[in-house]
Parts: sequence; structure tokens; C-alpha cells
Amino acid sequence: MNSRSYPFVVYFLLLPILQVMVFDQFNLGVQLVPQITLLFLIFYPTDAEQTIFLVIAFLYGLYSDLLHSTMGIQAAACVTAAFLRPTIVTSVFGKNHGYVNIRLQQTPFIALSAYSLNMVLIHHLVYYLLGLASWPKTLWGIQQFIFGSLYTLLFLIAIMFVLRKNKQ
Amino acid sequence: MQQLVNAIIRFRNGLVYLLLISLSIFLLQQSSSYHRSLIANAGLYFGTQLNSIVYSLSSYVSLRKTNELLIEENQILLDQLLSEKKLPSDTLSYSTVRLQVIRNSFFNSYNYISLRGGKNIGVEKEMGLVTSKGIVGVVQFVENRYSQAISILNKDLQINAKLKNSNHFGSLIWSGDDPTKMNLIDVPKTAIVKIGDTIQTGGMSTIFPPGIPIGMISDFIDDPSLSFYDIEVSLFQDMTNLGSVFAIDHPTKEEVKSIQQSINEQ
Repeated sequence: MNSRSYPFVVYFLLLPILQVMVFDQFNLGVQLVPQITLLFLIFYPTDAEQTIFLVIAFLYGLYSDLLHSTMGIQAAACVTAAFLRPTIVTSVFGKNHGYVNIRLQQTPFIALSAYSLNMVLIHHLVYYLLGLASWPKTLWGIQQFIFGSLYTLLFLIAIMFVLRKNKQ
Repeated sequence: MQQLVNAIIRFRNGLVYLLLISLSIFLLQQSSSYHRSLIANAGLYFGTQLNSIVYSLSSYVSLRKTNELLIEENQILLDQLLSEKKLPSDTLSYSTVRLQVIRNSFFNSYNYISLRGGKNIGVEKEMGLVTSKGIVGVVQFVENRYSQAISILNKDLQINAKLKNSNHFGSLIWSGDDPTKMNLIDVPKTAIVKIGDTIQTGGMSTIFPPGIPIGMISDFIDDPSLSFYDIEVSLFQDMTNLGSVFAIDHPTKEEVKSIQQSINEQ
């Protein structure tokens, strides 16, 4: 394990706890909670072994599930977002970007936002689909998915903007 | 073999993803009864669709034999209609719904029957299933076009049954061994039991009306240390060969259940 991995171990352990203790309080009612745990999946090194990343994403989701008592939903959503991440990175940053990590300071903010939007949409689609799993409530589920995604994206962009400004 | 290994290595990410998503869904259905029932219903739907296709193919092949069985069934029904003595003494008029068996198991300890026919033709939970020869099971789950019934060849099911020649009751259970035989327990020693006597439904529940034949006494154990007989019953209905069955609608089921509920609450 190299020095680049140590911050991610901390993020792995602390982000879900931060989500439960702080960001769950920002709920707008039924299931609309900003899911900042996605920051781990967004900034995890893109040059890492994809198979290992899938397992880590699953464990990360499972850890979030344990804290939220939603056994399996976060794990499924995180592993799906992790699986589709290479495709998203290629589509947003181009084919040669796979070997350069996405860094908060160096990556253009608009590209970073677009990339985050895609990750949020994939994660929330699986999250709400599995959580709801009911045909009669499809319209309500779509509504929750759209507003939930926008709310999460708002928080993620705000956090990235603040952290980016502080480090400059 | 080398090519298989190469393929696994090449598609390892997809395979790992499928494995992890399956594990997630497994954990979800283990912890949530809502998702468990959702997956069970989905499984029932796809299972019945598949079995329906298989049944369609196999029934086409066995048409001649099915025709012979239908003619035999018609003859028995006609005998019963013409002979008033063979009709149940109960004056209630029960209605029946015809169902087609699309999957029948009899080799497990807990067997179930899948049926084509559901809410769309009036099937409800806890309807008794019969043929012209005897009882078959009890409806357990009902979807719109398909149903699942618990077979009488299921160790969890107990049927109220009585000796035809008297009003002595007992519980009919299955030991899990022979699909042609069941056991009638809790029949008191005051009953006169002979090999060859007929066992029929007792009518103490709203599932089966009284007087439906079940089987014939093939053996019984008269243990002096016990107060009850253990009677072996050979079933009239061949449970390994089910085609059409009839679900019985008890006309006063709701009224009887309401009274029973009131008694229980008191």
C-alpha cells in the first residue's frame, strides 16, 4: 500500500460516518438526503485495478448500509457506479484520461461537475430503483430520483468548490 | 480449458460486478421482507411462465391419455349425479373452479403444486383442491393468472378427516415417504376401524366440504399404550399423476371465519 492510498483509507472510514452524523440532518423529507459518500467513488484513483476497485466499492457500500440499515442497497448502487466509472471517465475526459487521476485542483471544474453528475445519476438510479421496487410508485420514484440527484449534486459541487478555493 | 480461463480473465470485471450485485440483492432480500416477497413473486411469475411452456408441450404429446382420464372422470361424476346416496349429506351448494396443474412435486418432504388459474377466474387463498377421486391440496398463493397450492404430500399440512362409517375424526398427515399413503392420527380407540374402510373429509374447516373421499384404510396400528389409532390410508387419487383439479369455494366461508374469529377473541 503506497502513500497515495492512506488518504483513501481515511475517506473510506470517515465519509459514511460524516454522512450519518452531519449530512443526514439535511434531509428534505422522504428519502431526499445529500449523499456525500459518493466523493470516495468520484476521487478514487482511476488508474487503480478495476477489479479491486469494484470490491472496495462493494465493501464501502456495505459499510454505508450497516450505518443506515439499508442492507444491500448502497452496496449495489456503489458497485454499479464503480463498474460504470471507466465508461463515464472516458466519455467526459476522453479516451487517454484513464492514466491520469482526477484531482480536485487540476481538473477543470465543469468537467469535474459533469463527471460527478454522471456518477450521482448512476448511483441514485440504482439506489432508488432497489429501494422502491414498486411499479405503482414508479412516478414517485422518478421524482425522488431527479430531486435526490440534484440535491446531492448541489452539495457535492459546493463541497468541491469550497475545498478547491481553500487549497488555492 | 485455457480459453475458458482466458475468457474469465478478460471479462473478470463484468463477472466480479455480477457477483457483487447478486450478493447485494441477496443481502437485501435477507434483511427486508418486502424485497423478499418481491423476489418470491418474481420467481413465481417466471417459474410458472416456464412451467406453462413446458406443460403446453408435454400436454400436446399426451392428449390421448388425457382424453381417457377425462372420460373416466366424467363417468364417475355421472354415477355420483345419478345416485343420490353418493352425494354429500351437506345441503350447501358448493361452486368449483377448474384449474390446470402445470407443476407437481411429490418427491420432496414439502411438496407444492403450481396451477394455471388465479384471481382472474375466482381462485382465492385457502380453497381446497379436489379431483373426482379425492383431495389434492390447499391453495396457498394466488396471483392474477397463476396460483400455488400446498400439496397433501407436504409434512406441514394437516387435513381434518373422518371414518365414513362413523363420525370419528382425526388429522390426516403425510410422513414424507410414500406418495400413495398418508396417516390418519388421533382417531380414538372407541372407533371401529377395519382395513378397507373409506376415509373422507370431515368438514370441520372451510377448506373442504364434508364427505369428499380421500382414501382407504390399508393398515392400522393398535398400540395398547396409546389412546388413539395410527391409521395408514391409501389415497384414491394418484398424486404422481395430476391433470385438472377443482378448487372448491365454500359458500359461507367468510361467515364461518367471522364466527370463529369472534370465538377466539372471546
